[in-house]
Amino acid sequence: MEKRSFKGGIHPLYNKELSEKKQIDVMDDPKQVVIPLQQHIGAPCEPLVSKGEQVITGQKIGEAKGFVSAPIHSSISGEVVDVNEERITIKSDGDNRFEPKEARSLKEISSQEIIEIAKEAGIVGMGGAAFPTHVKMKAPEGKKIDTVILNGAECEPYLTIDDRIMVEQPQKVVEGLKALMKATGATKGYIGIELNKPNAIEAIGNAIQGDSSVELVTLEVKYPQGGEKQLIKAILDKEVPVGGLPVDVGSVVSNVSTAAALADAIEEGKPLYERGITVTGNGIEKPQNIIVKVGTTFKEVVEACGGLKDNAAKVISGGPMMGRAIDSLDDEFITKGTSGILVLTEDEVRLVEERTCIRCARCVDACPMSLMPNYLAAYSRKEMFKEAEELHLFNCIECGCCSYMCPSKIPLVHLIRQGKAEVSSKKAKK
Amino acid sequence: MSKKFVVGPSPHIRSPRDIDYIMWDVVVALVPATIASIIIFGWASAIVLSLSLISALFFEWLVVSRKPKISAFLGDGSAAVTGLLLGLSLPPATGMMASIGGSWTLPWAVPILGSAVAILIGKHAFGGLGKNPFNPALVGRGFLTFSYLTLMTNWEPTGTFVDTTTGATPLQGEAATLWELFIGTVPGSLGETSALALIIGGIYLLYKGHIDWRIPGGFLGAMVVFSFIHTGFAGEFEGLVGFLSAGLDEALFQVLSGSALMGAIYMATCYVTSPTTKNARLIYGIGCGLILILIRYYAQAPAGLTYAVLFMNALTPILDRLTIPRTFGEVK
Repeated sequence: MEKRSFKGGIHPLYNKELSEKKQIDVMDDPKQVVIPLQQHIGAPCEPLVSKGEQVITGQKIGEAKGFVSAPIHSSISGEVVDVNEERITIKSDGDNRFEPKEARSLKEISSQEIIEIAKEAGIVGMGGAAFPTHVKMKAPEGKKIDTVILNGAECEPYLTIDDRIMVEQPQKVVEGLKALMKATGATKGYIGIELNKPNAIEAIGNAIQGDSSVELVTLEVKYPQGGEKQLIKAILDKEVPVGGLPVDVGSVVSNVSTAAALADAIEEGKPLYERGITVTGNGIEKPQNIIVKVGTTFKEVVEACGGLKDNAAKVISGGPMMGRAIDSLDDEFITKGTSGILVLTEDEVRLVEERTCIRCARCVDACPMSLMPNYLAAYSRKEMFKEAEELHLFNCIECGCCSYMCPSKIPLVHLIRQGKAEVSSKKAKK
Repeated sequence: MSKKFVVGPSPHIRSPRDIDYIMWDVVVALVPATIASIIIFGWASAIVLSLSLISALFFEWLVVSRKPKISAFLGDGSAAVTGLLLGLSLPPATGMMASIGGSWTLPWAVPILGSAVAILIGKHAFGGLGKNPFNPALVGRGFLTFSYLTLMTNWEPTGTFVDTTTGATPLQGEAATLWELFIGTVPGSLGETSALALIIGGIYLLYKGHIDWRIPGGFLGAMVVFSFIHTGFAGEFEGLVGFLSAGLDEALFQVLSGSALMGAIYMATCYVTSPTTKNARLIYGIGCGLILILIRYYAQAPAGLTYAVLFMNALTPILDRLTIPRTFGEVK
């Protein structure tokens, strides 16, 4: 089969076999949810409810403030027990009452209506960054979107939820893509899937049959194949300019789970208050793919998956390459952007001592952005930011390939990230 | 269950290939050359290699054991690579008792001295692994060549298992067939005569992804191209077919003899002293090969490889700076 790709990247151990064959389960409703008011970059939401109020599932409880923002909805029915600046806590009444909004058919609604539905349903990118989808769908002044790309690469090791969504709900994924195309005015749609997901390739292949505006593209199994810029390079052979966005090459990239959520919002009137995640790793008893309510604590999700093993040592929100390590399961909550919970064991997180750079250039060869991570990290460490910026510090997508490959275990991407943060804060002060 | 977990920046998984793994893998890649040298040169080889290897490890230990954290005697494998490379690049004469000017000397002190210079001056005087601008094994080798020129160019085969009857190397005008050069039954430095053994190790390193083809490719490619140019100017051939055949013979001779393969596969590819950008690696490889063959054709220096690689080592920082790659999405 054809395998399109990009330059650079790495081949880590994928470890997807832990959960890739597990059908998506639905987790029982939690007794209580804690819904963060800010789930993405941009302004936090303004609470619409107050303490003591009764809410039902899907009810809007936080209104988007600012342009790059999306509203939030209650994920269970019950009583609001606490509202503060950061989060809304709701106690379940056990009924899970839900009144869907008006269901629409994609054929009869306008592009403006699709954008409005996406906004009202709080649809955001579910790959991790949680960027509001309705914002993405509107091309800035003077630019035109002609292509929508769905990211079904799921290149992060361990994670399998996107794979399962494509296998189990291919029609929804394709409907979501069609909605994105209609809303953006794009005439061509692609779904990119890595070759290690044959079932997803088959399911999506069947779902798009007879539709010439949508094309399935098979991709080389390589990290970060699902990186927005890498995906566009692999599929369209176009490079998003430095500092630019996909729209600069006429395209919009969205995750397959996002597309499925958008289809749900349009056709079932269902806002984004729950999502599928992968709970996996050698530190968890029963790795699986599971639909969880936004606001559920990690602790409850982990317990629903059989709990932790004794040797569990590190818990990551997201995948192992770009996910975030958390220190406790109790005050961490599922958000719209949580793609998985990964539990690594003591053996897998052995602390390694950083050693000197031996100039082996593995980081240079691995960098999918053709950067020089060795110099960028060294400059960032020495606070030589001017030199770092000349080497395109800000073109780093923070994929972590350099750190993964480094035989000296130098935290390259971490140093580069710190460098970027330093420079940004200095610029902001000026 | 309010257990606290390990936190740290992403990525949370790392490649299992650390410095030790890579360095010891280079040692593995040198095993065929080591075996070949022992088969071809016998006990002389065993003595030289043991002396240089063990003394390199000793001097490394002497320096790094003072730092509390790195105390293992075998270290990260980099000193073993240096010691072995140095030993393999020495002539068999350095492994015997010799009578020079009527008194007995100990030429086998030479490998120890070489390792001392390589590890102490070539490497640790600059700050140790990763900081040295010049390839330590070649610093040691260069020092020995300049200090013990006669000994270092004495290719007398001592106690060989295989019949090599002559004392001068093919590069010094002694006739040898390409087959002999390929197998290695010719006089020369211990680990450098068998092209076959070096190529096996090279394929292993390429297969494991430890070296980039650009350096040996540029190195040997430059030698081949210049061999043809040289043949063309020499004019001792008839017609195009004659030129191609003569050129090919000359190119194969140049690549298979002396330290060309050892240099291209193991010396020039030294991570610490070679460039990190892809284009610079190619230019660097070509530079090494070109200087080596220019010295062979137009100079009398007995240590062409040492000059070539050390000279290009010095250019490494500049080459890196001049070849910063076009970053993704950049319009130049």
